Amino acid sequence: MHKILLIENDSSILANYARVLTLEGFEVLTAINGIDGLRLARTREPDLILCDLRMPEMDGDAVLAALRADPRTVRMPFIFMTASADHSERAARLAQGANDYLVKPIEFRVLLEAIARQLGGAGTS
Amino acid sequence: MDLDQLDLDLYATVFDVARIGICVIDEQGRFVRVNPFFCELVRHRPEDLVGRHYSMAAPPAVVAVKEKFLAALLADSSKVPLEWGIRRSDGSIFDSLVSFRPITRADGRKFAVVTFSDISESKRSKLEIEALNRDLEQRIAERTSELTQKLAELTEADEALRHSEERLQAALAEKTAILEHSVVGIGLLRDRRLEWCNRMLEEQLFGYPRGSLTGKNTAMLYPSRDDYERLGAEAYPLLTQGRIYETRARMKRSDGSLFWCFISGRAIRPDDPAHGSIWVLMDITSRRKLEEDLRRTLSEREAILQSSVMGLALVRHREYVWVNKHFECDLLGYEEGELVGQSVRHTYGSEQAYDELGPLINRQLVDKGFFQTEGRVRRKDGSTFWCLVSGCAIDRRDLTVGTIWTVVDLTRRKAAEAELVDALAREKELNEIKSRFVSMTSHEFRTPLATILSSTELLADYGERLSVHERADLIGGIKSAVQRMTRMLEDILLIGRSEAGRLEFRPRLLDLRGLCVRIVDETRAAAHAQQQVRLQFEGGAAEHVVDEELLQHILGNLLSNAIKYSSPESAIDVRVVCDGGAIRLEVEDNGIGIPVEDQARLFETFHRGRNVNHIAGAGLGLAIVRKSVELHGGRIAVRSVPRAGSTFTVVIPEIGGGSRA
Repeated sequence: MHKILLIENDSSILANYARVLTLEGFEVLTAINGIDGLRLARTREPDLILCDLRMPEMDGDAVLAALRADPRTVRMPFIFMTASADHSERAARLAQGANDYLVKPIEFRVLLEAIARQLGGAGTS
Repeated sequence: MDLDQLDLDLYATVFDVARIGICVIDEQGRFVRVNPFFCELVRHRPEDLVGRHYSMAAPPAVVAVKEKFLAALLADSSKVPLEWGIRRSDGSIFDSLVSFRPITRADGRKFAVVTFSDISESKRSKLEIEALNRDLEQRIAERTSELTQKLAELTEADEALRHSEERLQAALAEKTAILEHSVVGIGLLRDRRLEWCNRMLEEQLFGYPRGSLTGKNTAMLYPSRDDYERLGAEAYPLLTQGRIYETRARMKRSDGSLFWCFISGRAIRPDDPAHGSIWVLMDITSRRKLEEDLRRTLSEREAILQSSVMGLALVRHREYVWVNKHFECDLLGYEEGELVGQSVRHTYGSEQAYDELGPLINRQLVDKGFFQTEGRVRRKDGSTFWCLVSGCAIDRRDLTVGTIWTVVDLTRRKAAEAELVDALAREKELNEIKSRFVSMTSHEFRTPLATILSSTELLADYGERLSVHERADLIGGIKSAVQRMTRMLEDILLIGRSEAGRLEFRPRLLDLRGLCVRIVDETRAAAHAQQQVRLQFEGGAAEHVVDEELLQHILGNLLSNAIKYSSPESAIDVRVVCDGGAIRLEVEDNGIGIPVEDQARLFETFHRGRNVNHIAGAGLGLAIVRKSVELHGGRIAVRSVPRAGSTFTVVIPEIGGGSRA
């Protein structure tokens, strides 16, 4: 069972995505802000991280930078989920080491396909 | 009477009274007779002489040869000189003219009769005369020599004089020829009649046959008798003072045509008008025309320069020499003619500018011949304005020749530039607003949309695996997200209306207290406020003229912000003060506060404090509050300390009917 860390500061979205991923057979770790998320990423070593971009105190960019600076998490699959529609931001984030960049609202099908691409197989392996 | 006796008496008398010395000497050389005058001559008494040898009265030269001399006397020798020296009793010798005759008496005895006349006087006179003669002759010779020389000189002078006269004649002829052929008309007037005039004056200027004007009165050369009289009245007082009279006048040719003439006249001898006056006339028709052309051209140029929309000035030695009216009057506010002669210092924006720019300008004018700058120029009243000032040296090698300056008022351009800068700033601001709007729209709409989408997908695809409670939770989330989006849309539309000036202001008399209570209650409920909200009223006014909807925006937004940005445990104070006509609303929280750098732009659309973090918001609320306050003619202020809290104060003035107690 793949372990997915979900970092999202909107509680409704966090709850809905956690619910779907759990129902799809993933082990889900949730964090409501970047600081908690980074701590969980280091201590629980998830297989993949889904992370919001705009968050208080520590935003998605800072979380990604910290992960990529750490040898243990440098290759950890990382997918941005953002409400910003600016497509120029996508390339910048990928260049910074993100593996994918999804724009909210995200259909579950799109979300699950993106996760499968990173994990190299079905979600419920 | 016996004639012989008479002869004897006569002889005796002559012998006694004659002024010649007579002596008779015998053969022995003794005086036998001497007359009184002889005695007088030799200064001896007769008795001392008679019987004595003649040598007693003879000079030493004769004494030495007394016998031989006596013999010669007696022999009537021609060898006896006619002038003898005679020795007087005192030994002195005098010259004497001598005549002698030997006589022989009947007894045969011989006697010499000798007569003497003293010639010492006459001889001296003669010598003197001879000396005088010699002197005279010498003087005559000298004088003659002098005279000869004088004569020679005179001859020479005469020669020179003649030569000079010839030259004078030649010069005179030359002068006459010059006068005759002069390019100006020349005339000699006596009593206003032409005594003489040259060919130029007669033929060329006035068109008369040569010689026909001589002796004529000059009145005929004037266009009218009046002109003739006037010129005469002007000229003659000057001429008698020895001054030159000059004028320009129109004169008349023989064919009656008129021409412009430069006339100058001068008396030959001011004290004696009889000597006449010399007049010079010049045809200036063409020059006059040239002058008129030049004057016209100059006045055209002047008109062009004067009507120029640029200020123009000629500066020499840092002084205005010429300026156009636009520069002097319109731009700088001087009276016409006031600026000429003034130092350029007065028109510099400041003394400092003059001191600093002056040398720089001169250096550039010398180096490049040209200088241009935008700077402040000072008016007469001391005010300054922006100008484009360009200077050009007439001769860059010598700035004292002058520099030409053009001055263009940039006030309007500067204003336009400022407007442009403002417009650009506004444009930039609008762009920022637009991009903030896009960014906000994207984020603030996509977030609730993500909730709605994920909730509906969960309900649709996983519904049977969810509990009733979970399904109800999802539906509540959808509803809340939709409400959030609706509020945001309403705020955006409100801002849009107010930006377009279409936000309506409909004030009416309302129960202020009741209205405030309702707004506070509704806001608390909508925001799920956990804080304690304390509403206080001060002042006695119950009813007020306000716009109900706008007051709801004002108080609702301020209160919902206070709730959003402060902790659930803190308290919020809302105070409504109505003393007199105005209303004061205060909303005070103990929340996160607003950074100082954000306070100035706090009421701008989409602007949010940098410390809002995850707290949702579009940055529209305070912009709406400000618009609503402004529509009431009121004002809003904020006092805030980060991490301590904020107090918003709104003052709304009395409107229309005012408050009613």
